[in-house]
Amino acid sequence: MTTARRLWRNAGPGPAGYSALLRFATFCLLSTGLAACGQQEGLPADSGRGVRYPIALTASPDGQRVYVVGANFDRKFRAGSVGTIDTGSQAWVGKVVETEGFAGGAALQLSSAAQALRLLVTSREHDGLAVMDIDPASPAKLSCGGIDADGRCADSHHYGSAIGSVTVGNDPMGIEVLPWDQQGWRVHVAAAGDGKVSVIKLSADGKLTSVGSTGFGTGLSHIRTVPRTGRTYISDNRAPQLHVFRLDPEVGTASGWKVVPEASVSLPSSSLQDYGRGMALSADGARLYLADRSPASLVIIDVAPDSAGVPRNAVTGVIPLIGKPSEVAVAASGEKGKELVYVSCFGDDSVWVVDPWLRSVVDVIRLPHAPYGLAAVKVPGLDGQTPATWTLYAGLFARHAVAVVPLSPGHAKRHQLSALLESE
Amino acid sequence: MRRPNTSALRRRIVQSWPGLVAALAVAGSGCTTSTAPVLDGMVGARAAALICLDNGKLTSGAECPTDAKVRALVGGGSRGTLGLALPFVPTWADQDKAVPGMSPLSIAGLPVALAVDVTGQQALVATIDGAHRRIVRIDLAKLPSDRMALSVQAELGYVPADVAIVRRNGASWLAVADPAGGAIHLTPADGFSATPTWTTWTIGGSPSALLAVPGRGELWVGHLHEGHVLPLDANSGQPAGNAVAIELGCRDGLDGDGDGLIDRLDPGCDGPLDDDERDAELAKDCSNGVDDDGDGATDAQDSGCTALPLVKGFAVANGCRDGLDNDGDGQTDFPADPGCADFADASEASDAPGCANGVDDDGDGQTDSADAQCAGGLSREWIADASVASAPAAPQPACDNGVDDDGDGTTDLQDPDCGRRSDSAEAGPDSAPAVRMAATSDEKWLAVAHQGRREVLFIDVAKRQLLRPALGGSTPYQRSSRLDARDNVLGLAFGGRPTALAGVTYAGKPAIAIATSPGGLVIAQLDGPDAATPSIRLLATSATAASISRPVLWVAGSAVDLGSTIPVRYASLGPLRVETTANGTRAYGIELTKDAFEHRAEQWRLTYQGLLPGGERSTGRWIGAGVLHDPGADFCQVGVVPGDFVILPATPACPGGSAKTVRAPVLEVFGDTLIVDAAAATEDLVVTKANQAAYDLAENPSPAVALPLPPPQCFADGAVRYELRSPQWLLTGSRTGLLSRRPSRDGVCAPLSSDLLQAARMSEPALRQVNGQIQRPVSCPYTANGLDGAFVANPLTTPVFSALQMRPGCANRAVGGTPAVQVLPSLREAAWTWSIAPGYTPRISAIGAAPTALLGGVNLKRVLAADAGRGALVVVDIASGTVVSTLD
Repeated sequence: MTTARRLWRNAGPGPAGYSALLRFATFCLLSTGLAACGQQEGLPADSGRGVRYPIALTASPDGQRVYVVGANFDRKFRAGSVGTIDTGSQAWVGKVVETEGFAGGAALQLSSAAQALRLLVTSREHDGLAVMDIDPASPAKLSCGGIDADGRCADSHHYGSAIGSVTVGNDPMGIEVLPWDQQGWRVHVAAAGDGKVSVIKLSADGKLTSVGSTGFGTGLSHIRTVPRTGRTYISDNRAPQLHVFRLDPEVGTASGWKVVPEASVSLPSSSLQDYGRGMALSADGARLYLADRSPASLVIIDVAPDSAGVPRNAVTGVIPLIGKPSEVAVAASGEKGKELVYVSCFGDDSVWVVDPWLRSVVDVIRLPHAPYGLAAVKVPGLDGQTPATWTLYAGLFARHAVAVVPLSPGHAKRHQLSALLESE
Repeated sequence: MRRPNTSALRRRIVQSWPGLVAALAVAGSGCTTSTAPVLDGMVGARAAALICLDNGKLTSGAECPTDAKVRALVGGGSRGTLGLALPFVPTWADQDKAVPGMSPLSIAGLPVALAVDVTGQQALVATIDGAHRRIVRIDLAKLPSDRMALSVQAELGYVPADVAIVRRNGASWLAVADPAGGAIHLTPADGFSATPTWTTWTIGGSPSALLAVPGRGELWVGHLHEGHVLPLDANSGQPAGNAVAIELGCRDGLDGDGDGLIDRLDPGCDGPLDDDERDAELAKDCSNGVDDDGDGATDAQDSGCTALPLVKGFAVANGCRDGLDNDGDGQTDFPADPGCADFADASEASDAPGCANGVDDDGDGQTDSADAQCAGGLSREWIADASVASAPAAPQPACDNGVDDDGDGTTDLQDPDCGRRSDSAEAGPDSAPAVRMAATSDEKWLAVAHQGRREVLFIDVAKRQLLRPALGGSTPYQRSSRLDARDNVLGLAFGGRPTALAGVTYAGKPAIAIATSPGGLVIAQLDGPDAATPSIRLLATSATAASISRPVLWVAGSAVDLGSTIPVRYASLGPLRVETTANGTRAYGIELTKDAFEHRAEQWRLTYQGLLPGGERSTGRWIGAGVLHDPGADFCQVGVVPGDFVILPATPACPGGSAKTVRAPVLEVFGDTLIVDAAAATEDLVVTKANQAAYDLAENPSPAVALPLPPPQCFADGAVRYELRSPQWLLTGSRTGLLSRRPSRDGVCAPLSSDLLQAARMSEPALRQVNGQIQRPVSCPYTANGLDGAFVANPLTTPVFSALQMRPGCANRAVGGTPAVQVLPSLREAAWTWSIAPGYTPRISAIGAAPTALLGGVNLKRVLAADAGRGALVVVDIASGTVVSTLD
């Protein structure tokens, strides 16, 4: 019980100690029986120097890097650790950086050349955002102002209720960054604690400015915008519905914009009270794929505009899955480039593969140690001549590692674990 | 350095992981040693079949004489299991005594579908296991001892969607649906081996549902993506009659008019919402004395032959199916001419350069080469203002980008889901039309679960005919409201997706059990007065009246309680009213009809100056002289009517432009073109809390300042982002949408002839005027005695409320001692929402959130539902609708 001792020693008595115990206990349970409180393999809840408990993965558009965010619930143990994987060498590269407080979602801000400029990570503990600059000359190098001896970002690169004018809600979980206009990008942040959705402008120089906000239910999880219709969808793990809003120009407001909630999308429900999690858009932007936990399923929502230009927002498929579906990734990895959907099923140690055209599960990828965050990456050929190949990177929550799974048809280890990238 | 907020942290953990925290509390000690869980068993149940054990003999479950003899096979699990249930005990039969607890049989693959071959005493299960797709044979010979055994497995080279046992030439055959290959594969069930010999029937489409109709020697096939079902002769594999459409005529995948052209590629189709493929009268056929399109009008009397006027130099006449190369680009009509979005498009010239499109783009009276700018070598009729930034190029529509966006193997117009070139998605709204089917025990009726439409449709098996609901309450096919008929509802409509069907018996007559998700189990009774006139209705707990839920006024995102309750009333969509009933209760409702067939569940929203659904667009071309052309739009379908506002953005940097957002009322509406009243253009004054008093009728009936419409050169390449808004109150519904939407033909909107269609627009009374002058300036229409005499009701639209005043600046009187609406900080943000329940309450049995299979039989009094969510088998008594037992 090394971990327990360390926790008690560091936490001390009183509320902080209680908090630490609760965090630790939650830790154990989060791992769904795989935690075993430090006695079993895969959950050495000590500090280490690497990424701990990977929950969010996001890939650079050129497919050369995957940024991995860990969400250790105890800040003593690299609460919001961020590391980089080079997809060519299939290895961790650069230095792991730590945000303040345990992390939630992550999103990349891209330049017009589709290069990653910054990585934005929510801080659930501090109701804020950590904004990390990515060195274009050395994309594995994340910088966030001064970094202390522990690798923590300086306050100046932390945005939240305590610093600056940007506010996000309580316990921000979901985040996305999308191009807005010639002057900048739009950042959407969905908070689970108070249901607040914040719309923030991110200018080219990295300045964040609040644009507007609105409120939905408490349990917001992930957020995705459909470019064709300008509608933004937010999953809610406490209610069987997708929340929807759009952003309208509005005279008379400080920002010139107004967040307009629209009718939510009803989802199948059950009595288990644990619903929507990760989302991904189809390549053509017409369908939204949602990982739903009760009933455990992949829900397909038709979000294309109808003949009148209105999003259809209709559930067109519910494919039964098993074991706490968590995150979703999409890849053109079927035969003849057909789109397939990958869903991490945290409680089943597996990633389920769904053919949305057939509305059927077509494969199950068995991975150890609770796969959670996913990134389907089109990895360029090493020599510039061999064709790019689709590869799935899956964060193994209980192993502090990332699994590498080839996806392209014809690959000898397609839909099998080909490498395990352990974080230090 | 800030420290963690421990209470906040604790709260977040509880919020984020309530189940885990609760588990911790129960566990007490917290830390235990365990391995990764294997969530197997019946969770994820996705395939099931009924069998009967009658005096030790295996027989058909559908014909089992009593409930007590029924067994159920249920396939599910994470790694593939098959459970054997004794549902009326209820218990599972343990398949592995060596393992503690009730163990299912491992079948090493996710079950997709299963079929029972009684003769061969076997179950054949289609499974998916990684890259392996198999048929697994389960030996049922030891079923009297409640044991099953996996015997052989045969590999498949495709993803199976469904299986069925058919009688073919006197023997049992296994049929497997192969949606990707568009085929049905068959092999003898007797002697099923690891290397079966397959016979393949290639029928095209995406076969996904198989239903054997043994009494007729037929196998009916439903498709995953095509809107029809096909009966096949079980012996030959040839069609046993016509395919039956389960979609509108222009999206059913069939050649409805026999001209060799199907759906969107048939010139008779105006789009996916057109129910008739018959060809329009073509221009080249307008003098042959023949009613070519069979619409009852010949040549010049046919609207297809009517020469439509050019409006301000802009052609609105149909040019995309007239057989003529109207724009002289060498390509004729849709789909050959890229300028045509579909056959109903008005002009072939949408893709033409600005100096060759036959349009007076800048409204100076000169067209194309006759315009000085074109003669000067420009590519358009105006000189663009240098101060206007180029708008970012709009993405090419998914149905015209040369890409197979949805990865289904078809690209752009070859994709059946592309109704028109301008469609923004290759995925259609009505996919999964027939993934479940069931027949009644007498094999007269076949039910099809259409998941895309959320409807269950019924087919007359003998006539090969879809039973379409007829108009009016007297039809034996009930649930046929006028709204349903107008919106082309083809069967029984549900709020959730129908996920499973089973033929059952209720009160001695055939019935269909229907499972929906979310929702539950309902029973559709088929009990017409005679065989020729079926009556289909849902068993209901009451069949008396519809109900209207309590309306809520939303103001700036907050609900304002009106303090009233809504009586149960019949519901339709007439004008909204507030009235006092005989017993003194206030009723917020709508003009009602006593016709019980005018009901359907719907939620409605009423907004002031509301944006028309679909009325926010960025693909407009602003042409001078008040013409807005949008090649990708269908303004008739959007529901634009004269009087609506076109809102154009401010163009402060452009000479002749407007410093403020400007709006102008619509004068005329065509399919892709609007003519606006430039003389009536004003500032688009947004109603806010601060300025709402400026809307006071008496003081300033039109507070907005007149502004000129900007010239085309104020928009880069004439491309403009614009909005379409109602001038007053707008009623939109969750299913019906905008009620004033209209079909179009040849670029011309159908007339607004129905009061139902007009119900989308509502107004407050207008001040009485004589010779254009207000006679008596009064701010508020209603007094304690009713409508003030200074006002008259708007003859074109209907008043929103008969007592409540939604007009800013008006103090609302109390009704029945209760204060009415008090707060209106912004009219534009105010919205009423309420919902209308159907005229009866269907009897719904709770069977779980994710029902995937239903099992019933002709003699059985109960129906079984497999719930994938809980992994449960739920037993429902058909007569009472109650859940008898649940087998987890």
